[in-house]
Amino acid sequence: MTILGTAFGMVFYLLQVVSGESGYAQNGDLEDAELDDYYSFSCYSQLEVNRSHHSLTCTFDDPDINSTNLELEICGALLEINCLNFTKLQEVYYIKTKKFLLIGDSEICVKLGEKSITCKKMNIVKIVKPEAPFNISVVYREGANDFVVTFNTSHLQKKYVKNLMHDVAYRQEKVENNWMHVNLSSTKLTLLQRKLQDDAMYEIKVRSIPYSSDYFEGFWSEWSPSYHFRTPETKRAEETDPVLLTISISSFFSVAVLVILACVLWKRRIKPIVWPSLPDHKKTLEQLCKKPRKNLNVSFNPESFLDCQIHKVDGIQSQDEMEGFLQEAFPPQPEESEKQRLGGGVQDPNGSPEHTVITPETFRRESPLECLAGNGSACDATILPCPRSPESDENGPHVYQGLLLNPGTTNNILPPLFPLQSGILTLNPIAQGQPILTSLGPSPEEAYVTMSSFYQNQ
Amino acid sequence: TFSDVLLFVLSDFFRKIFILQLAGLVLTYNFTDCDFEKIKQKYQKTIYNDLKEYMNGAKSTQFNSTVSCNNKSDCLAEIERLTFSAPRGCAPLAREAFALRTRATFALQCPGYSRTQTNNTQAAKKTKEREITTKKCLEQVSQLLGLWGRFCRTLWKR
Repeated sequence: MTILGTAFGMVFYLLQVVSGESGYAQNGDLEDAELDDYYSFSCYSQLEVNRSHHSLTCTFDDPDINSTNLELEICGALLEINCLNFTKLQEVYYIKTKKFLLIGDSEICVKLGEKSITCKKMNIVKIVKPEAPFNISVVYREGANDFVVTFNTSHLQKKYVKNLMHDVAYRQEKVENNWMHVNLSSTKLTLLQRKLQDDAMYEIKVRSIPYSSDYFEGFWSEWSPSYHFRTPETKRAEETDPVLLTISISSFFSVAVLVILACVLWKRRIKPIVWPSLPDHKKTLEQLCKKPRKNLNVSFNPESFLDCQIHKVDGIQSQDEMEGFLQEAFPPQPEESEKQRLGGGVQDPNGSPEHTVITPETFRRESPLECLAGNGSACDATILPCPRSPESDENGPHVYQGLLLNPGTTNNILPPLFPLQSGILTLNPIAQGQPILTSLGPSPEEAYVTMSSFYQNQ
Repeated sequence: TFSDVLLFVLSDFFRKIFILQLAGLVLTYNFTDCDFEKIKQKYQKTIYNDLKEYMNGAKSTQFNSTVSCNNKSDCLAEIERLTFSAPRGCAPLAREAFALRTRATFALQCPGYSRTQTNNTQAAKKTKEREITTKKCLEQVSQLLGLWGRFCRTLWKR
């Protein structure tokens, strides 16, 4: 049994070896090579060319070959069958079938009768030739100044060969063989108008090839039918809107005139308004005072006030204290010395007080602040500075307690400037022997000067 | 004698059993050395379309996924088992286009995968009408789609 089994095993082994792939025909190498060159052929496949059917087309490279008795057969990489025979149509051999495995290599042999003359290994998925694109259209977009090129391909609905690279070629019809090429993977292309000649006729066409990095590879498809279109005439100068042109020119000139005027009138008119110069307050005051009265001596020179009694004011005391003090300060007959003690020209209207007190309230009441607050009657009086000219006593305005009165105030009963109130202002009883302000009457009011009084008297 | 005859028969019997066991071990292929990227590419470009066409619009989500795999070689082993097995209620799927392409893919991309299996399945058979696609068959194909998807995802993780 062992010997029998061994014998059978050897027989089967030899059978397998013999029925395996041949490749040891060393003697026929040259003949095979010559035959391969003579019967050289090329094939391409088209998948799902007719719904789910694929096609395989082969032709001999030598057009002069006598292919009368020659047949082509494909074996391997087929579904459910081993081999298929080609159908011959004139000089072209083709197969239409669904039985391509699409995996692995097939062998296509040239047969003369039952004898295979030459064979070639081919992979169906590596010799794919796509179908030609179709329905090219070119649409001009006036607003965008470009041309939108669109086309269609049947591979968009296929299962296998879906990814294609498209080659769009266009040229001006007058110029021969000057094709411009654009590669794209989509079915839409935009051509800029500025890259094309104006008012010219153009021809455009498209072809496809399987994407190189895809599983399927192959050759370029046939060109699509050409499409012809004409580029518009660009009237760029003439198409300019005249209204727009007029407006732009007038605007330019207006701006130019404004710039010139600004430069010319800058120093005289514009700059004083934009950046007015601040006047010197002393000079302004002198100007204000100079204008209304030529014979009015106004000066801030301290030497002009040598004949005036000027007393320094120290502080303010409480009311009770000062009320008592005032009672003592204002006896019926004021003395000269007491008057000298009055600093700032404060006097009691009833007599010459020993010590005159000015209350802040009264001071405030009669102060220019009340004038600013709108108390008109209180603002009617204005203090006249010392010295006064004799002429002003007679012909000039009336003076009341050293105050220059407006004409309207002479008929009014003028209250004392500083009646006795709380919050008393103490005076510095210095400079004895110095005359009291002669401009002040027997009342304890104190004269004061305000800029507003000067301004009012204008 | 009788004992000699009995001994001869039993030895022959056990020998066949031994040979069958060896054949079983040989037929269980180890997919470790396969070119997984090319297998994945062939699946995406050809086998997937066949599986979807077989499902004929039926959604794979309506079936429960009962089979899974852990790694690339394990997934291929499961795919082979499901593709060429014949569960009860469903005729063998080995004659379908996706099965033939699966076997051809394994033969090309897995060194040592049996070529004889490819030849046998591609041999002309007396075709009988394709059996009506049952729900069992759809379920099995749905499982195959899941396994192939799992296989592709394991390659993304690399």
